[in-house]
Amino acid sequence: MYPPMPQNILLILFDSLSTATCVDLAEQLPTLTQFRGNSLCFPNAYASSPESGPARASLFTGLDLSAHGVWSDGVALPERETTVTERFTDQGYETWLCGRRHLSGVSNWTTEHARPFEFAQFDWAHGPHHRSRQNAYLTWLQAQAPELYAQIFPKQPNPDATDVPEAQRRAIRALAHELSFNSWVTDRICAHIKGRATDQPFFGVAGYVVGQDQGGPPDPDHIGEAVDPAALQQADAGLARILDCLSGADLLQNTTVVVAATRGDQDAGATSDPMKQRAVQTSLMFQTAGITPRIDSRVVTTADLVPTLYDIAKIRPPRRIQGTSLLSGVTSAVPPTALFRLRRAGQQMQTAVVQGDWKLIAEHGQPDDGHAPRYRLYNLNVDPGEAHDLAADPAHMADLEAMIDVMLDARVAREDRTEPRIAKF
Amino acid sequence: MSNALTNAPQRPNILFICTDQQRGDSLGCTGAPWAHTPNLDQMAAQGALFENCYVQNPVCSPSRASVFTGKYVSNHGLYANGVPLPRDQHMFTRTLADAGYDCGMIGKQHLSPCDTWRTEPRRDDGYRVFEWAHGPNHRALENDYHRWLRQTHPDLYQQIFPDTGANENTEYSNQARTGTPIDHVPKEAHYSHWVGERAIDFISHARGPDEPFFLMANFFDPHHSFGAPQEFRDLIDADAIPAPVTKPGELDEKPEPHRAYSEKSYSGTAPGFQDYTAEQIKEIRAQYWAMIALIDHEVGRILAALKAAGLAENTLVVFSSDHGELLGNHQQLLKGPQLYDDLTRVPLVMRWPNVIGAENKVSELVQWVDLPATFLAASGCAPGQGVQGQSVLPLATGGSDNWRSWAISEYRYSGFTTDPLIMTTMVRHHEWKLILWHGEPACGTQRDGELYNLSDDPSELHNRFHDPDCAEIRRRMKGVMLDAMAQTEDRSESRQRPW
Repeated sequence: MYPPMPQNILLILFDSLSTATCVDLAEQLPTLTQFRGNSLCFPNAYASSPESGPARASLFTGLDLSAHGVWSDGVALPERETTVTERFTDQGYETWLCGRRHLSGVSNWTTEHARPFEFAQFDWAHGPHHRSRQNAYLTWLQAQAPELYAQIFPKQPNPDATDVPEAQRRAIRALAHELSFNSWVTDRICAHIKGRATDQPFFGVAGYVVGQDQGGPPDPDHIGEAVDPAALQQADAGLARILDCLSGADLLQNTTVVVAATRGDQDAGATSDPMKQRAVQTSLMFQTAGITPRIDSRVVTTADLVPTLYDIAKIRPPRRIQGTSLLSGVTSAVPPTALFRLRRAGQQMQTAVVQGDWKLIAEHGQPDDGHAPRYRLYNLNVDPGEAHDLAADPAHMADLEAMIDVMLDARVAREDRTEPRIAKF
Repeated sequence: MSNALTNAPQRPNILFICTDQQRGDSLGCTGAPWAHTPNLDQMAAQGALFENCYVQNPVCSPSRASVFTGKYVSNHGLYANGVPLPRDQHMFTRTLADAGYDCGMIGKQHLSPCDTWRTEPRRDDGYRVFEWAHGPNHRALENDYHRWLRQTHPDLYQQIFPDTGANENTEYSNQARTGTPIDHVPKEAHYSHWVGERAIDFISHARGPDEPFFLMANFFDPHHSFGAPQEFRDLIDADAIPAPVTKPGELDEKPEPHRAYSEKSYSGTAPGFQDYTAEQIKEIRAQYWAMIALIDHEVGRILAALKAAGLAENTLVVFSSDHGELLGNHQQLLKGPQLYDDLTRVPLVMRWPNVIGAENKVSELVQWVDLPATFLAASGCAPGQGVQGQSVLPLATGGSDNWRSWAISEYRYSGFTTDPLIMTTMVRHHEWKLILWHGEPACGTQRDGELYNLSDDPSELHNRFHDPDCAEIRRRMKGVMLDAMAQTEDRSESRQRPW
């Protein structure tokens, strides 16, 4: 009896991609659509925040905002936390990342650094518009097409003037497919797969960028971004190449391929609402030997991703973890809940909870005022577009209070109680 | 800011006298005329008496972690007794020591598990003096009270502790129905006297002119077991103490777990209210106030030593307690997930001559989490990262008109554990108080609640949670709790970039 082959892990991570967009654009995304059908798919996976930084911190650690402390974009993941890639590195995995990471502030063209011993290979680039001198994609683009590069970027970047000129946006959009950011991510991933010289298991992260900001400054008036369809199609094609590459290297059998998104997205051109379903509702898809493809529609969170990977790879999770493996069965008769929070400085704090058909959003005020938060209540079953706010409807007073109770309990459930109780007193 | 505060002496000494399990209403000056607390009453008359000070948790360790870190229980990570304070949490005593304060801790601290006679480990605490004793019956070899007792009263020590103690006997005093032998020793051999002696020694230590001190003198009493030296029991008239507060059928209108906590205390592991006769409860209450009388006696000695050393003028003296005691009220004893004022409201008295005016009664809602901010403000130190409370000095000096109108307390299976786990949260806003007994997804307990109007029901006898006439106030208070929870989150990690 031989020990089981260690599972390689390949995490295909989109920056902003809602379940709704995956469904709406299914015909334009043949690989993703097919992958969805061939995977264990959780289409009701909620991010912990509509902001990228906090959502990514949860996804990479398995912790909620209340524990990891990354309460808004621009806050770095505290040193005390263990990322999933650090953990796998410690367990003997070769780890690499190609593309975006965003676990620290990157505005003003700030470079994001890997942690010590986190990645064997760190091909980092926040996006095609991000002008850090360490943007590995731009370095590659300059080497591949120096004249074109000089046309697109005629000047040195200025960290104090980071608006992206429209001409630059057009030029990046017009790049040939093989020169696009997501094609570069795919090339690097495939190179790692093909270039493996040892039997050391690997954990790779493909950080695709499909949001319309493409690594440039986000719209300061809106949280979240719409998807750039062309970038998404490039990523879809990239996924096909990666799967072919794995197959060609005879690695599909012992590689778990996970497709996930940091957070959802926004309607193109519409007034954005950071607490809408599509801002936080994404899909988690696992394709791995021994797991039967199916759709599991229960409410889960993206903080459940890394506990699931630890479970698949039979690796003991770090001590600080709050999510639970999605391979474990349902243990409670109570419907699962999703809780997400918006805590951006200068903006009204908002908390939302989803359970069953119901969704409650609370816009917080000052407790001193003694007023309740301003609530919005939706029945997602009959009103998936969240057009009819029932919070002020006397007929739904009991539903409102029931969801307030759920929000209070869900908030308590996510507090940081990771320190073990080692004695009675 | 008031003139007194603006002109306050720089870097005063800070003496924090802390008791364990002492109710807010247990002093003569806080509504207990049967109490024998002349020294504390005088201290309150000379300074500020806070009438509404709430702790962040109703049991020792989580509450104390809030005072040492300045954070709410949901943020500092020590959510239950038996959980060590996470290593990355910063103690305010370290900040004071770094600023040149001579820091000391005497008595019980409880930032790490002390079960099975464990010695509490030192942290990066900044103390020069750490004379630790988790309690008078705690058999750790490094119990400094026992070391002192062996030297000062060897025969008594040998008589009370003839053997080395067995680890499995760790709940000896929790399970005692009355006082244990060590509780009834003569005053001169008592734990409270030891705290007084060691505090006086610390105060008398020679220091340079620019070396102020911070001392936390921790009494174990009036924590059960309920017993005191006879000479202090003799000071208490048991007949003058009112019977416990309750009403017929009270438990029927409270959340279900109240019934179990009436039958047995400490989640079924210790004698409960119903194990005692009315006469025995009466004696428990008398012994409780006898313990407080002894504490008051020792506080008087400490304050006299401060005066004799010429330090009274330039010392901020603070008296408080980590949580309360049910003491038979609501047909319950000791403490647990119940968030009555019996457990969450504690005494808070502050004296700082020439800065805090005399006879200042402060009715605003203050919290234990405010104490480290207060100490740091008095010392001139900046609050450290993550310190969430506010200095109460503006209130004490009569110079604040913009104080928060709410207080929060969070119990997270913090006492002895149960199956299913119990979690409760209290929020008080002006006269209303809401207590939620959480359910799924927090824990498996049946979700329920309590709602009290403290202006017409200060004893919290009439639960209005299910009263249809109070449905609107119940919903509003749940909203206040949601807002308070959001407000108290730890968002201290710095935002280094806009995105």
